[in-house]
Amino acid sequence: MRGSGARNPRFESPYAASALAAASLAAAGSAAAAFLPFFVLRPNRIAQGRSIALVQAEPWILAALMVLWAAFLFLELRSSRRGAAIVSVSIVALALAATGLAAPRLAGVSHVARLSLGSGFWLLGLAAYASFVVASRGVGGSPESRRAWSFASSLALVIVLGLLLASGSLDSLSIVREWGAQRAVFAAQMRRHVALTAAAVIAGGLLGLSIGGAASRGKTAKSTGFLALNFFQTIPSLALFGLLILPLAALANRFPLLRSWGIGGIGVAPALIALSLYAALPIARNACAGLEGVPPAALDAGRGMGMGKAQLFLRVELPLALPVVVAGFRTATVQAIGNVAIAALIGAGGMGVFIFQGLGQFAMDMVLMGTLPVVAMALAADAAFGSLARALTPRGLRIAAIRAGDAP
Amino acid sequence: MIRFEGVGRSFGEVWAVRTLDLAIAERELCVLVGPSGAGKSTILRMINRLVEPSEGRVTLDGKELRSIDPDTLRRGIGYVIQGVGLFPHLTVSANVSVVPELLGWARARVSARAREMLELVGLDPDRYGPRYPSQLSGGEAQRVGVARALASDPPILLMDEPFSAVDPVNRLRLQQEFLSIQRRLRKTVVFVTHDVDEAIRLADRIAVLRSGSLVQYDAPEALLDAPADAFIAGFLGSDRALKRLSRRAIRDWMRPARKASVDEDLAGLLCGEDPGYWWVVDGSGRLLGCLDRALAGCSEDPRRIIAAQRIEDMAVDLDTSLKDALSAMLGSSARTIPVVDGAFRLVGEIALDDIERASDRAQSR
Repeated sequence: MRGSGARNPRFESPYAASALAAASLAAAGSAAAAFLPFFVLRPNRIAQGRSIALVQAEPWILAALMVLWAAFLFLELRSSRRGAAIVSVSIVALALAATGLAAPRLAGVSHVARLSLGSGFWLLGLAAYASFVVASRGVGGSPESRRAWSFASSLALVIVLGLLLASGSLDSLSIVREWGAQRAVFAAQMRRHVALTAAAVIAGGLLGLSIGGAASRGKTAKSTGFLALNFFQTIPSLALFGLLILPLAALANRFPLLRSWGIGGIGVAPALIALSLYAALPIARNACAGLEGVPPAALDAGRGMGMGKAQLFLRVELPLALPVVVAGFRTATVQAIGNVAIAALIGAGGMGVFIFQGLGQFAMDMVLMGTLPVVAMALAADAAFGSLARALTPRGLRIAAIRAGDAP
Repeated sequence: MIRFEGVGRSFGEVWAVRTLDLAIAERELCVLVGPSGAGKSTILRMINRLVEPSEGRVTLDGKELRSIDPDTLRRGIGYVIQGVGLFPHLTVSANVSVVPELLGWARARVSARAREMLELVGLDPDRYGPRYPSQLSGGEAQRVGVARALASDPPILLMDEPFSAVDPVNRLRLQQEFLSIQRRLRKTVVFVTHDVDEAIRLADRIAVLRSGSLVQYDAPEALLDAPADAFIAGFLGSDRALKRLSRRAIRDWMRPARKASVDEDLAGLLCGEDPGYWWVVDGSGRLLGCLDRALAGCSEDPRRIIAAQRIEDMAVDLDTSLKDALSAMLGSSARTIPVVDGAFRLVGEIALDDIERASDRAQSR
């Protein structure tokens, strides 16, 4: 139960804590913009780069950023959270605009010259994102309005980014050039990444739901099922991919028919096996917790009123357990999106291809080209499953959660 | 008629119930009472086949329960449990509608029935119907539990410690409300409790259980008058005489009241020959106060005496028990108190002698 028991008086005031956070973020964001390299310019793809600070490239925009950070701090201290949230979104938009303005001029006409975004840009972005989180936590109070704010802000940034890309002002950025050169491969690997994730979550879901369902009914099923899944979870993904190479290669050698189906020591087959095993654990755990969370009195009453097994499951257990089950799928999917990136190492494809190629060639922009979509996919999956879980939570339970003082 | 014939039930090595013979008559409220672990709930749950007997047989109107499909059986038996067990994701109306829906009633009939049931248990259907269980107090939730169990109008009602999680004040109210519902509907009720007072207050017949065996099965009055052994006497408590009084209603023991209308010559009564007392009523028979020659002299103004009295503290309702009447007498230090009906009209009086008479009669029976 929250709010009971002794509290440490030093943390009594949330105001002091958030003021401290806001001040640190504003300081870090301003310092990153002012002192760290905002751009890195290289004469060609693998040459040593030259750092360019924002003050050299766009001094007026740097001044504007400073003003915005001051405004953020001011608004945050006055507790006008909406204003502070808008300001932090504007900071990101302005940083993007600075890039759009400076990039064509800095890269010049050379087609081999590469302009990358430097640590200044990324840290500024990170500080602004954290500021947005700090500010939007205090907006409105209701979880719905906070979600609406996050959604509107993300949409605004996506629109700004889209406009800049469409206008061609970001074309000289190295990461955009990299993407332009490999557009077809990128699209194919993106599809592969999504397909692998979906297949892993579906297969892991079937396995997880059956183990979780059995675990909620019997003690032995619970202990053995979770023991097995926990065992796989403790093996690092890279090691599990490696461990599967040998048996699968042997299998494919023994039965050539399998090889003609695409099963072998490397490639999609071992990746899918490992990814599904990883996805199964959170799904099994949540399915079991969801079913065990159904109040025993409700089950007894349902049985005593003459509900059959199927009716009891469909009318009572399923609606009460479903939000928890979906939360398991949410965790599994976000995890799988990240794990698929590593599966590229054994030839399964996906965004990891660019990450590892980029690492090998010391081409950071290529690494970014692989990483950013993975992050975006994970955030999108998280948001999508989050809304699904909320939509599937029966109204009676949401009211119960609010009354218990827990935001759903 | 529900009949247990040589029924036993074991869980592993432990016999929760052994060689039980028990017949529960139709339209009677039978309370199973005993300390925890006496097998009360196991017996109850054998009636709707949530527990099957290990030996012996249970019959319902001569038909063996084993031959009836459990779900069909259960849909014809109302079931109320301690934790209420309302479905948290369904509204109050939807909870009450569950069994009628399982029985395939038409939608309009189901919703009309749900409203009727909520009204029966004293909850406004428009206010409470759309609410969720988490928005109810303990007492309200338990009322909904009773409404849900009665929704399909089953002839039998099983209640497993239904009021034990409710605070004492609300419990008493729930018991009284349930009794008045039962007086109207006359269901066959099997009610499990470990609370002897609850058992005596509600039961037509009490089955006292100890470690899986039936030790006495009798009407509450008979049980209080003649407990079969020391265990039962101890379980009933040392205030058996008072408990006995709690079973007796004033209406059966009161006598006609000496009354005087407020329009009469009250001063004349105070100064007259008659040394007694009068309950003063108004034109419509409502009790106003008391004039007692032993307390008031001839010189005093009778209307002022009446106005200064707080007669409502002394008067008792004719449906309360003799135990409550005794308590009211002790509280007002009067040997005779007025009895009124729901509209506070004087209907009689009851004296300490009457209560002694009732207590003696019970003991000598």
